[in-house]
Amino acid sequence: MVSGTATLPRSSGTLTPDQIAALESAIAPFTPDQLIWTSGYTAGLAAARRVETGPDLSPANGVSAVAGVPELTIVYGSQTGHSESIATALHQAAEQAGFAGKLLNMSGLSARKLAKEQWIALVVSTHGEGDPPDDAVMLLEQLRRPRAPKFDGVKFSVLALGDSSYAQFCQTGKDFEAALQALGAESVAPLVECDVDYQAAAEQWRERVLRDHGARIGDTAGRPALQVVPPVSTGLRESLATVVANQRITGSRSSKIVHHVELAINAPLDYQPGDSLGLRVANPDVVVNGLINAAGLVATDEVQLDGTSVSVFEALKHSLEVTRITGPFLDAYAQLDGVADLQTQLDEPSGKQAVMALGHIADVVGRFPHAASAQAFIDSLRPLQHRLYSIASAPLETPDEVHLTVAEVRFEVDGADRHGAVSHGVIDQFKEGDEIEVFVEPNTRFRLPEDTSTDLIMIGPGTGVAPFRSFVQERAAQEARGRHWLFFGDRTFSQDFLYQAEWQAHLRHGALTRIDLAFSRDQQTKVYVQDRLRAQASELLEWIDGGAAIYVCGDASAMAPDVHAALIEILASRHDGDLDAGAADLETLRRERRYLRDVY
Amino acid sequence: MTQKDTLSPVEGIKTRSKHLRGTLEHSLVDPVTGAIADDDTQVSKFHGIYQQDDRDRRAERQRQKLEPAYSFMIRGRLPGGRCTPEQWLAIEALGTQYAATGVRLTTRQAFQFHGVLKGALKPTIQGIDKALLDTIAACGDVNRNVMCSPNPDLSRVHREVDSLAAALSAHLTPQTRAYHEIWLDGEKLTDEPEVVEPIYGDTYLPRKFKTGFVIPPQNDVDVYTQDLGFIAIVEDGALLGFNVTAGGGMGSTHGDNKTFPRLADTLGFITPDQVLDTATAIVTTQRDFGNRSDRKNARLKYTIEAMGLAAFREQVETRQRFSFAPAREVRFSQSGDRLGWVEAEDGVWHFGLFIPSGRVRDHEQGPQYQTGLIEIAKIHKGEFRLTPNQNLIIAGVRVEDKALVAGLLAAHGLAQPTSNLAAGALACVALPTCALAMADAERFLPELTDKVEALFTHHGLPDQSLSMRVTGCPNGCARPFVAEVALVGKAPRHYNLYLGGRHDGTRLNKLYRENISVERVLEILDELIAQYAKARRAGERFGDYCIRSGVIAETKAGREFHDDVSDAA
Repeated sequence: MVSGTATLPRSSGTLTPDQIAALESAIAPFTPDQLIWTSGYTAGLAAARRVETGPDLSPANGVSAVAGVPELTIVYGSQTGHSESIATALHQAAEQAGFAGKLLNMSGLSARKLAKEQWIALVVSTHGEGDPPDDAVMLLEQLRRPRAPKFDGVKFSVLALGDSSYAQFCQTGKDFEAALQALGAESVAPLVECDVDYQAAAEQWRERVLRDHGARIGDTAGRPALQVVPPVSTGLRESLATVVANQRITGSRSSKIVHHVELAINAPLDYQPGDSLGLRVANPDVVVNGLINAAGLVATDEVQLDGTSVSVFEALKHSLEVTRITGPFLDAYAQLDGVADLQTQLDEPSGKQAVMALGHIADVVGRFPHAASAQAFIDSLRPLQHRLYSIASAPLETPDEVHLTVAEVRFEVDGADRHGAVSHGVIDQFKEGDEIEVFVEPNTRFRLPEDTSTDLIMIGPGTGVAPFRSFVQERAAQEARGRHWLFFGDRTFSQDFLYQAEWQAHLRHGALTRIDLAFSRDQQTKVYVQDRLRAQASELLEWIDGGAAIYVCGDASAMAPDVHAALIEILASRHDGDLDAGAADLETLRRERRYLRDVY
Repeated sequence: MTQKDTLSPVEGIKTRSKHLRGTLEHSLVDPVTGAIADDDTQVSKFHGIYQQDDRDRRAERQRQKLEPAYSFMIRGRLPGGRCTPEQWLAIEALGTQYAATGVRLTTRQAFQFHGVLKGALKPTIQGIDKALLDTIAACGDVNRNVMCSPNPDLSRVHREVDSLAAALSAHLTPQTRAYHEIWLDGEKLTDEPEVVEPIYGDTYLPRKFKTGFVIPPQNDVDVYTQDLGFIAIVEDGALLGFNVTAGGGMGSTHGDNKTFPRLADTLGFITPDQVLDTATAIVTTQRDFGNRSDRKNARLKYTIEAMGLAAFREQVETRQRFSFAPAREVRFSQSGDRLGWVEAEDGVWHFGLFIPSGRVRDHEQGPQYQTGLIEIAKIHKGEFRLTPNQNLIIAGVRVEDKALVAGLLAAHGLAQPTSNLAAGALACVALPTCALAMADAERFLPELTDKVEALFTHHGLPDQSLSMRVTGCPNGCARPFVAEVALVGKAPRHYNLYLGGRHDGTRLNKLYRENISVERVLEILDELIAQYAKARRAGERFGDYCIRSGVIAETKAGREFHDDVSDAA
């Protein structure tokens, strides 16, 4: 087996049928533990070979391939770290499977360099309404240019991450696939769409990629070689937390309901400022009953769920998504007995978007009634997802607690007042003393600079301010030398100035150097954070020249692009208003990890 | 004056304020807080602006990690309470635009806006300026709004006295340009005159200073409660001059017997042309002799107690460079306002409009004070006079316009008060806005008047007249210590009960029971009214009865206010 590894054919990247047969017969009697050991052993051999071949010549954050070993180039474009963790896991699996894996971040990767690769596994997420992650913007742009390099002979497969409650589900992955195909690349395995519960799909894709690429260690899913690599970052280890406070922090006359939630953590919870906390919350009764009525169900009827018998009410309350409309739900629901016209509408251009705009699942059910059984209806629903909240506290400040800033999502459908189920759930259902399961979702793309003397410019209107509460607390506890400038905005000064008293105290004690505020409804003309940024252009440039890092957190659909545009304008002012030059400056900042975003 | 090192902190703020500028300009543009800097909260008072916060929401806001719900009270300066219909409309418009609760009429003939947010201060003051009014010295350690009886009967004498009140108000207005610079974007002069404040000096007065002119027989301004009072002496319809009174004041502190309400002493008689000189002499005496280390002992009343009346009079006479003539005899009939239609000597009519607690607002399914007065202001050819008891006189209605005004009053449900008792009752703002209040006053008054009215009726005395006043604290904004029955707040729904004041405001009352519940107050009044109904003499008022029958000891001077308080209290 050792020698076999050395003589793998270079061209197709697959083992010969003989080699496969030999390998299979060799490992047939192995126990799972032995298989795991073997995979590590061969991976170690591959790594040793790489060291022998000398210095790494690949791009800065890439891991180079080795001559004589089939290459698999794994490229990722990540915003919150999911794509990165999947790509990293694939990279490890590929190496263990005997490939020369190469791991490349899209950030700073040019189309020209990418075109030189032979076999590309591309992992990329989609944000908001079909937007690429920051890291992927430039690469996608380059691939779409008229003079983009040819990708003839290049093989690839795309894993697209997304959230099916958005109409433009996995759009960025599709964009990359289309762009690469247009340039002559060959899609060797169909694009795989991953929803927020991406793990199963991601693992299948990983197997598929490795198998198609020739590492025929097995012909079906679930072989040990793949299981030796656990999901790297998902951090889904849940721990128990106790609700110690759940307090509204918008004024009683505010048009918004935002709560500050404090959770005491019963066991040490490893997190850093910028990370998120995941929780799964039962659906509120009012929403469950609404759906039961809309769908013509009987709450006490029994249905099967994962092989157990539960009541319709229990299933909807604790196990299923009852509000968020997702693509898979629509596809399943459209096939139910008696559902007329829905499929036709979904097939129309923008048809899916129009249906999603209806609001909640109950609204779809109301508009397109079904005549199917309770079981069939239940089966069309997706499992209840956890929701992620930016952590609003700092480990150094409150080591035994995690704080969250939770906004109630509220929107109207046909005049009926509706609540976003989960936020509503947190706000209304979390009572002091309740125990809940939580997990940390690390966000490696939104971390404080290691150098505590780096200045921070933090732009976080609305609940986007949550991680900055954590940042400033952490920096204060570190007695950091860096300066801190916060841009905050919301509707009104008197009702919506989240954590006002705390910011005032930070300003008094110097932990916060400056704060600029934009309250949109306090005057005739609406004012937003981007307006405040423009007003402070020259001082912002001074901070940026001094090495400041810019952080943006909050709404991805309007705020983040507006802030992005304002920053480009501000940077362009040094190039006689040349916006392209400003955009290039901002891109440089981003690559230097001095322009970081956590937008949703 | 006491030693420099014991000066009260406010003295330091005044000194540092550079003639009332402080850091107000910076405070106004600080976007992080709806408040102004601590020191500026003292300075702003001199500009007629008080920082307040909604006390009902303090705890809630703290839990919400929000600062208190800060807002500001703006008080106008309106000598004698006079304004034109155009000014009324301007004030109304500003109140609607910027004040949370509209316009409120004060117990000192001024208008007040409550709940003005910091960002609206400047536009509001500029709007007031545009209406040819201002808020300078409406609060603070200076001479406040000069009061004058809006007495409608004697039109000619009223005009004379009122114009003297206006002249004195102008004379005692601070001369600093700070107000113009801060609020009206006035030009900043590079060099100030050497003496900025010829009367006040650089640190102004030790404490607030209140002045009132009264035209007997109606003691509507409660002249003896003023630091400085001028009682018009009228003979055959002509103004001869004034009896000058000094050293009145209501403010005191619960449990601190060194503080007490005090009625003014009469210094003597002066002629109208001597008013400004006498006022200057008294103000500067207080400026130089007043206590600047203890603000609870800083009013003129304590200065006079400390100096002795004779020494004080001598000091004033030296400064004014003439002696007081012997005081003339004065007779008051009652305190409070005259309400309803009154025909004046020159044949024009005045209507005294009762406005509960001075709140100019439209009641749901009740009187439409705001709308009604706006409609009247649109057609009224005379003027308005704010009264010392939070009411409003529609003054100078010609005979031919009387029906029109009466029609508008009726159309908006603006009738007479439901009872004499309601008409004679007075309350301060108290909770939730006033920082000093310990109990409700304005919000409690309607309940109290209804219940006391019912007691009198029950004992066979319907439509009784009574001066009854409620305040949230003992500082005395509604002048409680001259009332026949006064409730002064101690805790929510708990008050000190005072009895024995005189209906014309010429005698202080005395503590009868301390810190008792509203229910206990009513039980006590029930017993006393029952006795009064049986044992009163013909025409005897309730306050007088309480003293004659020995229910309460008479308070003959302010310094004896705390003496002879019953052990039962």
